[in-house]
Amino acid sequence: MVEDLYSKASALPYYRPVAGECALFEKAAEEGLPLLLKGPTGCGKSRLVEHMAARLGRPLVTVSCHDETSAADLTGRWLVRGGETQWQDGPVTRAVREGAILYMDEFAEARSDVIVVIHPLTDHRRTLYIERHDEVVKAAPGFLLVVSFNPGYQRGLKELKPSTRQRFVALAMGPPEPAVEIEILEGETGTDAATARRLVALGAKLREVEPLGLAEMPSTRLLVSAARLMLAGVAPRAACNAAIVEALTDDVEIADGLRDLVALAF
Amino acid sequence: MDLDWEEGIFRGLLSLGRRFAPVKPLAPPHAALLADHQAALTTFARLIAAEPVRVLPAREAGGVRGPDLLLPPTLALAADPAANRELYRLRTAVSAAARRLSRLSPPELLPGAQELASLRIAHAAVGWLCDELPRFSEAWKVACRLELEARPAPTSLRGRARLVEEARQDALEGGRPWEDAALILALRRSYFRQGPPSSGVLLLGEWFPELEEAAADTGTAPDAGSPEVTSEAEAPAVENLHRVEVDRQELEDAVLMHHFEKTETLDEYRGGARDMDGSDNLDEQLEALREVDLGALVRDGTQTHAALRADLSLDLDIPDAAGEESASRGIPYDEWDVRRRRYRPGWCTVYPIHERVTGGKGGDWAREALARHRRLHRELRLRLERYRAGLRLIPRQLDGDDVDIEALVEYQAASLAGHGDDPRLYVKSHRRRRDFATTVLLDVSLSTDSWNEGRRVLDVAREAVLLLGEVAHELGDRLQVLAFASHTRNRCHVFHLKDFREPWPLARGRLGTLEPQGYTRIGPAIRYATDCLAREPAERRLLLLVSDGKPSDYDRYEGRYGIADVRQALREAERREIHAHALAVDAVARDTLPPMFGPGAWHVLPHPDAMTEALTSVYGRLTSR
Repeated sequence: MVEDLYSKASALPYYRPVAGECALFEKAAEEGLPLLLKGPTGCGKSRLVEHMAARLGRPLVTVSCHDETSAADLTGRWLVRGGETQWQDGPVTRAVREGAILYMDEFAEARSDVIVVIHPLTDHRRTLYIERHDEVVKAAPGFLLVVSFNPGYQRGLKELKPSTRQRFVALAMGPPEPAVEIEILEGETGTDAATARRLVALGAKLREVEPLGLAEMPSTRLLVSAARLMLAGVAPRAACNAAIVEALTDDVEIADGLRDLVALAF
Repeated sequence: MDLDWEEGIFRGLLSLGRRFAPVKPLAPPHAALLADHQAALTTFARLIAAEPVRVLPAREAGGVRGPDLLLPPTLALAADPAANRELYRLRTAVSAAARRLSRLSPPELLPGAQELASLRIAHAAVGWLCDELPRFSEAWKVACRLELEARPAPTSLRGRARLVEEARQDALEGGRPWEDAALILALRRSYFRQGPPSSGVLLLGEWFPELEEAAADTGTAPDAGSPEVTSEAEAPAVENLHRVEVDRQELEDAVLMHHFEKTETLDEYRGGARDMDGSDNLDEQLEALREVDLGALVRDGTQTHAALRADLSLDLDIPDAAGEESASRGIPYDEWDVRRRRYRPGWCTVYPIHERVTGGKGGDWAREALARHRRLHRELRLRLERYRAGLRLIPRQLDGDDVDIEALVEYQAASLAGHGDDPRLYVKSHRRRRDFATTVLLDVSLSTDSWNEGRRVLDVAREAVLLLGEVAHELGDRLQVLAFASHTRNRCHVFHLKDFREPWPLARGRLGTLEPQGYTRIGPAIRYATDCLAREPAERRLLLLVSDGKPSDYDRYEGRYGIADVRQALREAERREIHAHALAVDAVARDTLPPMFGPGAWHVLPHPDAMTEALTSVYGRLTSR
C-alpha cells in the first residue's frame, strides 16, 4: 500500500556516511537530479533519505511500491462524496506541488503504468501529467525524486528497464566496513564498544554464509535490533536469537547451527 | 573342497548368537548423539569453515579429512546431554577451523609421528577460535578438563601408545609436545613396533591427509569392459585410508592359506596375495563384511560383480553419497502388470534422497551455463512475462483506480428513490495471476550419458532445467525439481534437487553435480512426483518429464510392459487433476512418448539446442492457460 509519511523532521536522524554519500546527495538535490539508491535490505537507504531531508530542511514524502501499486494510487483519484465526485491528490502529486523530497522505496516493484507517470518528472520537463484529472503539474522548486531498489533479491522480476535507469544518478550502498559498522552501532543505539565489536564480528561471520544458501545476508539493521534488545535488558544470546537468527531463517536445523555460533560469541 | 554344510552350521549358530547378543553397545542416557545434531552441526561447521564442509559420523574419535569433518557418533564426557551437546559444538568448531586454516596454508605433516602433527594442527585451530570467538577459550578450558579426567593414565599403557598418550594429555593441558624433537624421534623409532593404539582425543580429533593423495591412481588399469555390479552393500565411514600396493608376481603363484582368509585379507592387509574363491555375490559374504576394517585401499584391475560400497567420497559430488536415506525410508508403490491387467501391490520401492550439496563444482557449472545463455535467459523471461501480462478490471470495489460509472448510476438512482447505500462504487485493476505448482522430473539414467550432435543428453537436459528454474524463480513461481534413476524395482531413487519451499540458488549447484546412473523406471518416479504435487496446495498442478522417453530397467521393465505402466501412472495423475507433459531429445522417443502421454502432451525435439527453449515455452503456455 501507499504509505504517506509526511514528515518535516525536526531532530536530525542519525546517519554515518560511509563513502561521501551525503555530499553527493546534497549536490544532486542542488542540481535537481533524480537519485537512485541501490543496496541490500537494511543497509541504510531509507535512513539516508530521512537524514538528508532533515538536513536540507525539506518535507519528505515516502511511498513504498509493490506490484499492485497503480498510477492512481500515486497521482490521485476521483472520490464519490454524496451526490458528486471530488478529486483527491495522491502522494506524488502533493510532493510535486509542494516541492518536497519524494522517496519511492522498492521502485523496481512498481507496475509499468507507475513508471510511465514518473518518467517526465525525471528529466528537464520536471512535470507530472495526471491523465484522470487532465492536469499538468509543474514541479515546485526544491522537488527531488529519490528511488531505491535492492538488486540482489528476486533478480529479474524487479529489474529496472535501461530507459528508466539512465534517468537517475545512482548511488550503490553495501554493508559497511567493520570499523564503521561498530561506530554505527554505537551511534545509533548507544551500546558500549565491546558489545558493538562482538556483534559486528558475528555479523561478519554470518555474511560468509554463501554455502548455507540463505536468501539474504544479515544487515546492519539486524545488528542494531540485537544491540537495542540487549540495552533494553534482554540476555545477549536471547537478543541475538530473536533479532538475528530467527530473522534470517525458518529452517530449524540451520537456526540451530547459527545459535551454535552465537553461543560462542556471547 | 566342499564346505557347504560346515559353513551352513556356522552361519546358523552365528545368527542365533546375534539374536541374543546386543547388536550395538547402547549409549549411556547422558550422552549426546551425533545423529540428533548432525544437520545443525553441519550448518555451524560451514559458518566456521566458510565452505560447504560435511559432518559425518566416525568410528572412533574421528578428525578432519579434506572437506569431511568426522565426529564421534556419541559424546558422553560430561554429566548431562546438554553439556555433551556443547562439547559437540566445540569439537565441530575445532575441526572446521582446522579445515579453514589448512586452506590458507597446508599444514606440515610429521611422517612417523602424525599424532603430534594432528595435535599441532588442532592447537592452531584452537588459537584461531580464541581470537575470533570471545566465549570460546573459557568453554574450551572446561572441556579440556572433562576430557583429561576421562583419558587413561599413561602409566597403564606401554611403549609407543604411552608416549602418544602422554603427548596428548600434555597438549590438552596447554603444552606443545610437537616441539619436542626427542619425542618425535622416539615416536618415529617405535613406529613399526606399535602396541595397541590408544584411543584418539575426542575434543581435538586427528588430521588425515586428503583422500585424493591417499588414493592417487598409480595402480593397474582396469580390465577391459565395464563390470556390472550386481550386489551392493553400505559400509560405515572410515577415518583413515592408506594405499596398499599389491605385488603382481605374488598373485601369480598364490598359496592357499586357510579358509577364513577372505575376511583376513580384507580386514588387515599385511602383504601376500591369494586367488579369489567362493561365489561372487555379496549377500553370502555380508556377515563377514560387517566386521571388516576398510582402512586399506587396494587398487586392482580385476572385474568384480559384487561391491561393498564404502562412502569414501573420492568424488564429493556424487548425489548418491551426499545424502542417502536409511533403508527404512523407502516408499512402496504399485506397478501395473499389463499382461494380467492388474496392479502388483507394493512392487517398487522409491527412496527419496534429499540433496544437501549447495555449492562447489556444481555452482561453477551453473554460473558458466548461465553466463553462456545470458541472452536466451533474458528472452525466455520476457516471453514468459508476456504470457502472464494483462491487467483485469474488477468492478464494484470499495476503493480503486476509477469510479465505476455503472455502479454510480445505480447508486444515484437508488438514493434518489430513497433506498440503497451500497458504497462499492470503484473499479480496481488487478494483475492476473494463476495459482499453480509445477514439478520437473528429470531422467538421469545411464542412457543420458549418450551423445547427440556433439552434446551429452544429460547436459542438454539439465541446462534446460537450469534456465527454466531461473526464469520461474524470477517470476516467483512455485517449482519443484526431482531427478530419478532406478536399480531394479527395489531401488528406485528420486533426488530432491529443489523442493517447493527451498530457495532456487540451492538447486543450481545440485543440478551441476548430477551424474548419469542406473536405469529408467519412469512409472514409480511419476507416482512419487504425483504424490508430492498432490500435497502442494494449488489451483493447477503441472508435471514436466524430461527424459529419453524409453522406460527400461534390468528386471524386464521395458517394451509393452513399461509403456503400459507409465500410461497407467499418468492416468492416476490425471485422476488427481495433475497435467503431465513430456519432452525428449532422442528420436526413439517418437515411438514411445505418444502412446504414453497421448496427443499434444509431448514434444520430441529435432535437435538438442532446441530443448531449453521448448521446455520454458511449454511451461509458459501451460501455466498461462
